[in-house]
Amino acid sequence: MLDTVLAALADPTRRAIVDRLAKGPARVTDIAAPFAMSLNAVSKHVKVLEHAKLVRRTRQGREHTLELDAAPLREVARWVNHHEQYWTERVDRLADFFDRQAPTERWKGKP
Amino acid sequence: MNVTVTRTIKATPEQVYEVWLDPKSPGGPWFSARPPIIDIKVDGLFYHVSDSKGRQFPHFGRFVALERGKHIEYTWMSPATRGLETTVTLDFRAVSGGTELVLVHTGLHDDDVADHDRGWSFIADCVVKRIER
Repeated sequence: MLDTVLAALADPTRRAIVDRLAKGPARVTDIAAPFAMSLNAVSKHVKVLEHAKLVRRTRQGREHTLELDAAPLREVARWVNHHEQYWTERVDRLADFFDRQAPTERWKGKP
Repeated sequence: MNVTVTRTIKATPEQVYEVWLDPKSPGGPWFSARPPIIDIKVDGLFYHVSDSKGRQFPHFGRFVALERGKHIEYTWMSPATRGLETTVTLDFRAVSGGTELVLVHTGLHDDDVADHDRGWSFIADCVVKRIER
């Protein structure tokens, strides 16, 4: 999941699409408008995002609407936050340890 | 993809270095872990288990570089690294007010897929914040 999501977001066009969809659902044609590439090329990028489950497509007749699904983004963020939290806790403990040292033991002055 | 934690600690670089590597010091990262198996030398191994939410998490790795008061580097594997051998580095620098410690955890996912970092930065910097606002 992690690699699929990160690979999907490795491309600047796909990041721009996700950025656009973060503002709200949009039609494929609207999504494609700002890009200097064919609708077909944009559709391929959208398919990669759908495969990574970052984008959901709903069809009403000929109209295709795209919607962002933030769940995979949150899962990646949670995974990295786990590591950040782990090391932050340990560095905090280290800092607290020296803060609590008796003044006589505490390092004073400049290096 | 990297995780970086920077902090200024009120001690000399040597003191910070020693406490970080001391499994008996309550200021060190190994203190609450069981059993603290730690062989502090280049190519020395460590192993410990920590508890979180009723689950046990084994961590193990190998010391790669040890420069007293300056630099520590070890490999790091845990369930959270998903089978990848990641790297933890600590750099110590004397600054006004103590020691600036920079801890960097690198290799947190498979870098074979190019540009993953940019994908991650994108998630961290813009989308998640906007969505969760």
